[in-house]
This record gives sequence, structure tokens and C-alpha cells, in this order.
Amino acid sequence: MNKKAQFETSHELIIWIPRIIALVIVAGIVFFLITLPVKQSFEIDKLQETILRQRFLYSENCLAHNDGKVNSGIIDKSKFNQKNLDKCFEANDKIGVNLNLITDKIETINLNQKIAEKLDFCFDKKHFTCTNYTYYVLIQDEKKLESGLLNVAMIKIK
Amino acid sequence: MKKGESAITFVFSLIFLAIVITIFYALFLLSSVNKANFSINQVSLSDVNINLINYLRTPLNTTTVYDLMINSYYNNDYRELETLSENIFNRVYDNERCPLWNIKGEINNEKFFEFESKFDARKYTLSQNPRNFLRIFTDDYLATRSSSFDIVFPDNKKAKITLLEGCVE
Repeated sequence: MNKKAQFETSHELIIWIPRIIALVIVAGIVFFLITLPVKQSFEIDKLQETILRQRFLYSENCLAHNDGKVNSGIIDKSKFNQKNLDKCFEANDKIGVNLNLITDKIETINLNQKIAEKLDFCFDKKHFTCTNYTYYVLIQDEKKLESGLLNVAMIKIK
Repeated sequence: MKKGESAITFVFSLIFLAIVITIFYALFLLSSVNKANFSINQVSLSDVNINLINYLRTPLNTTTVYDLMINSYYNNDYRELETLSENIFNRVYDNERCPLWNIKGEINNEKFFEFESKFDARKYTLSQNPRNFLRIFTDDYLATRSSSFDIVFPDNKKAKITLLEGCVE
């Protein structure tokens, strides 16, 4: 190959580089647009936990006080026990619950104890879905109505 | 091809390869940011409803917070209501999980009281907008939900009480 031909080869290579880069960009944009609608996920674990959590306060079979009508949000203190809450929480065995009723003292109940004990591992978002919410509640204890907090922490194994 | 030219071609090939990889990586990152995670947050409105209705019916000595609100309005003195509201909501919400709360009362779209949290919520982004590039650095964002109740004052004025909360999702 003579010197002129060698120069032309290198020169042509340099000229082609921007063209190839433009081609890669176009191919990349097409790839980007194709994958865009595909990468969608629907988060239902938290939704499930939220609905189950609300059952505690809305259902008279769980904690809601009933004086002829169901008072959602008002807790019947006599219903806050292990037996009643186990019966009320008939979810699958993949969800653990930790309930704390906070007044001047704290009462704790765990449902599905073995899973509830894993609440400390909620940082592992790959294997567990966790929710934690504190309600401002009114507590009916015989004739007395007092205010308090109900903290509901849930963990679900994915 | 001479030795020098082949070296130049090799260097150009490496630069070209690096550019191609960089462009693909940048596009890959962009498409990851655009990943749509659907979640239904509005179900949690029922949680805020519970907190607001219980706040209004909180028993005081012989009355409720609802009555105190009405008295505060007619006496134009909201100090007791403010103290009470802060005592309640600063216990319910906290700096780590729900650093934002705001309670306000309006009559004909004019606020007659408004109290809010003094927690620091600046470290969270306020939306899960997939085009928000801050999401590359953090998964946490603040989901805001609000609940309102209409109450009627003795002189038939209609007041709207709204509680807003912002919790980390």
C-alpha cells in the first residue's frame, strides 16, 4: 500500500467515527423507547398490608368498639387480646404483625410470631415488604374513653 | 499498514469502544430511572381519616376538641388548640417515618387556624416522579395524603377541617 492509500484509509476511518456514533445513539434511543413500556411493576404487597392493617380499626370482629353501631377508630380495650386478634387476623402465614397499644403504658401483641420476629430485618427490601403506621386512637375501657396510639408494624416475606 | 498507523487505528478503536459503552450505559441508566413502579397510595386515606376524626372527638374535661375549636373561633384565641394539636400530632407522627403533618380549618376558603409539624422533611423528595433524577440516589420519597371533614358551627357557618400527613414510602 502506498503512502497516499494509507493516508486515505486512516482519513476515511476518522470520517466514519461520527457516523458510527450517530448510528449507536439512534440504536440506543430505539432500545430505550422499546424497553420503556416494558419495565413496569405493580406494588401490591404494601397495598395488601394497608388493607389488612385497616381491618383492625374498621372491623368489629377485630378492635372496633360497638355500642349498637360500629365506631371505626375507637378501640374496645377488651378486644385487645391475643385470642381475639389471632381470630381477626386470618391472613396467610407470610405476614407477621406487631401491635403496640400505647397509653400511659405499652401493651404488645404479635401475630404470626415467627415472622413478626423478623421485623428487625426490614432493611432487606429484596426479601421483605414492611409497613409501619401509627394511628391516633380513642380507647373505650369500660365506661372510660381515653386517647392513645396504636402502632401497627407488618412484615411480609416476598 | 505501517506499525504507527496500526497503533493509531487501535487507539481510535479503543476510544470508539469507550464512547459506545458510555452511551449504552447512560441510556441504560435513563431507562432504569423511567421504570414505573405502580402503587396505590390512596387506600391509606382511611388511615388519615381515622386520625382526623379521632382528633376531633378527643375527649377533654367535659367537652371535645371539636367544641374547643368552635370556642377558639368565637374567642379568636387558638393557643390552647395549638398546644393540644401539637401534643397529639407530634406523638402520632415522627421525624423518621412521617415528618410532615398539617392541620387547618377553613370557612369559605379562608383559613381561621393552621398548625404544622416542625420536623425536618427537606431530605425527602416530594414525589415519586420517575423523571426525578434524585431517585437514583434514594428510594425514599414523601407520600402526602390528606383528609377533610365538614363541620357546622352554631351559627350555621360551615367549616372544613383538613389534616395532611407526609410519610416516607
